[in-house]
Amino acid sequence: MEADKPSMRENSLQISVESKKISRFLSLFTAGVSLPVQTGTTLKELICNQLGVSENYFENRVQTIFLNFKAVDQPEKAVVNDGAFVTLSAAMPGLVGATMRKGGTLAGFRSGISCAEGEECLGAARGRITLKLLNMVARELGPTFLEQGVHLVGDQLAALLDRPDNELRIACREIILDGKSVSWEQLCAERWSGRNVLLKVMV
Amino acid sequence: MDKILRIDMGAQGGPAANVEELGAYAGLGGRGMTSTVVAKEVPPTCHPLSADNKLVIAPGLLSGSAASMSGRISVGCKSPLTGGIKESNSGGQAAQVLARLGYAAIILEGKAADDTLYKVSVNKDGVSVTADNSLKMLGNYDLVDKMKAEFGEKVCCISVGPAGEMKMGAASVAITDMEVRPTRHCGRGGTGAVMGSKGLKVIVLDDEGMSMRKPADPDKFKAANKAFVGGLRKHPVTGEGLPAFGTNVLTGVINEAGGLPTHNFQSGQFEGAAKVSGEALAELENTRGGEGAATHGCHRGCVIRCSGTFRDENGHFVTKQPEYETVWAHGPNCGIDDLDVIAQLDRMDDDFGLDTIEMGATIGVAMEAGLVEFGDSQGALNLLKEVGQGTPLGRVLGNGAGVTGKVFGVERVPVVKNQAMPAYDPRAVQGIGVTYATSTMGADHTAGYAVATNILGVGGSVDPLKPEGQVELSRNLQIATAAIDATGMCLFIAFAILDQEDTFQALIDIINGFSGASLTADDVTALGKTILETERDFNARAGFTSKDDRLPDYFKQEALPPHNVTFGVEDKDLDEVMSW
Repeated sequence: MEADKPSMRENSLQISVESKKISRFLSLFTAGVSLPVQTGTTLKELICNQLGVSENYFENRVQTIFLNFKAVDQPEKAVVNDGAFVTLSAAMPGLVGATMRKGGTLAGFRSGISCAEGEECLGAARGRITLKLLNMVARELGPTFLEQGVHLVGDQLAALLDRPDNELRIACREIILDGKSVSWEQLCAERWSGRNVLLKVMV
Repeated sequence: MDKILRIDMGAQGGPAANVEELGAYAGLGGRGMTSTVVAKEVPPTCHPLSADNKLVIAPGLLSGSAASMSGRISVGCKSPLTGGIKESNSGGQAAQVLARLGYAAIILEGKAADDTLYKVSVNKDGVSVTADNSLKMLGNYDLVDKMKAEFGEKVCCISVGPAGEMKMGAASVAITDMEVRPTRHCGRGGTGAVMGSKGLKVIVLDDEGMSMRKPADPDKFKAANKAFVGGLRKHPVTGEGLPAFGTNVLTGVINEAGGLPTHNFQSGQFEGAAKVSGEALAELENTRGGEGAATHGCHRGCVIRCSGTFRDENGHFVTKQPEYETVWAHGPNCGIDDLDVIAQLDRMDDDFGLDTIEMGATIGVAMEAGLVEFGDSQGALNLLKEVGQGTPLGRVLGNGAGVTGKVFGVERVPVVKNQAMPAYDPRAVQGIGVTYATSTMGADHTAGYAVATNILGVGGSVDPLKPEGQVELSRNLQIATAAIDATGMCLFIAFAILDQEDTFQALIDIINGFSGASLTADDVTALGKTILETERDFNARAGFTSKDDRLPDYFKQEALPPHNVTFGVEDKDLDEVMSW
């Protein structure tokens, strides 16, 4: 389960959009975006110190966390190695949703899929993770990450552009691809499969 | 609610309706009422489609009042699907309306002498039972339109579709919502087949001229309700996540956990999960229906508003926002990643009157049998159409996953007590497997919900990481759920209650303020235990033993990807769940 490594060539895409339409891009976080980070550190250190999420937000709003698809109860101990998948979510409904809560009373219900303490640290290094943001956390953190820039594979961008969305087209004020201004139609006409993209979305 | 409406569909000379006092059933509501009546009046060994079975429809203790979230209705019987006791729960308007009409329950008994189909009308002036064969085999949507034309635009309907008339094991009882659409269902366990077997198509309720039920202590009630609503609104689940995304907010999380049953429970992650996630669904609904389309309450008084409205690409109404269980059943379980297809299947389930969980699980079994391929959207639509049409294949499918698996020789059938499992694989979340196995209802995800830890000591006295810890948790949660089901409250209040002590206290205060009682949390626990004891006793008399409190063997043998886990709770531990 390793996050995709970037090829040498990566397109740079910047889109300026009306603020009310930035939500159209949040679906990228459901499947996950790639971010360069210092790995071999704890999950809490990564999210708060490296990615700039406030500790208060992380403690109180991010109630469900997965690391490599395992539920995390102690983010201050879980170790993030290169290629990891990190998923952040708000508190979930349902018995099973409550079961997934970090450090929750019902955690015992899913002990077989919980992140074990003391996972081996493979060493500190510059690497990549795939970050997924779900539900309210996507709405609240997504715009900041989009503004800073997220790395995608071309198919993810193609899937986003493929959806018929005239409102989004109208809401895009400026599109700059590899330093050149392009139209929405030109953007959609590009063949994105097999390419890598650094996407920034600004309001 | 000071009376019971008893309708004998097989009375000499035609169906007869009688209004009687509560008597021994005083103080009961919702699941407390339905399970007590069924346990007392239905011979446990009777055939579920016989005249001896009874269908009990009961609002909750708080329904019809100004208590927020109190609009759930319970429908109980001996289940044609499981053969045990059944309480099936739904939102919609019926609980509020029936309670304001003063009825603590409607009890349907006997069965029509011939194949005449009946409708019942209940309003402030009384009850009428009328033959109406023009309603035969109508889908719920056309039926409700006809009832609105006949009785008025503001009625509430409790009905069965063609599936109920054909007495299928997956048949539901439909309840209309605030827009008078048949979108809410008492889905589980074939309650619709029992209603259909008695020759009753629809009950039309009209509370015009009736007023809200008044609390015994208005000041206490009002203050408690205000605190309760405040607690629900400030909680991130009930105040933000559920209104924004609905229950389908779970798809992304359960998929990440590797617990989303995919391709008939073959694995725990679905490649197309992002396409059918709550985030994708909310975005689609809001794009097509305007901002706010993904937020909607199923009954008046709901402040959580976890439902929504699904429109097609031309803006036409298709169905209510599909729930997580429906999206899973018709989506990942069948390999389908198209929300428009899932919405169409949901609409058909509602129209034919079918349990979406049972039908999705059944189509998954049918796919495993090779009738259609996993991921074949048109194939799934065609299979469901056959159910509505009552073709020979449709009748097999309409009787659920267990029957379908038997007919087509499929070993891997995800049922307990013949009821299909919902959208959480028990190998990934073993605790839910304990509940699936031991619930009196068959495989049921709502039977064991969460309430305040300090009230029930949900953590228990045993290490929750050990199997016996999970057993104690499941037991306490099932007790709490049974108690909440008796009040008419929506189970989703449980999340705010779990986290906020003052919100749970506000609920107790609402109950006391309304009833004039002085209940404590221990009393609430005792109520839940009594209900479960009643249900266990009925099932035992119906012939159930501990061997029925088990998951299918393959869950212990087949490792579930991506975590490669099996169900590891031992039988001896499962047998301890209901020991107290």
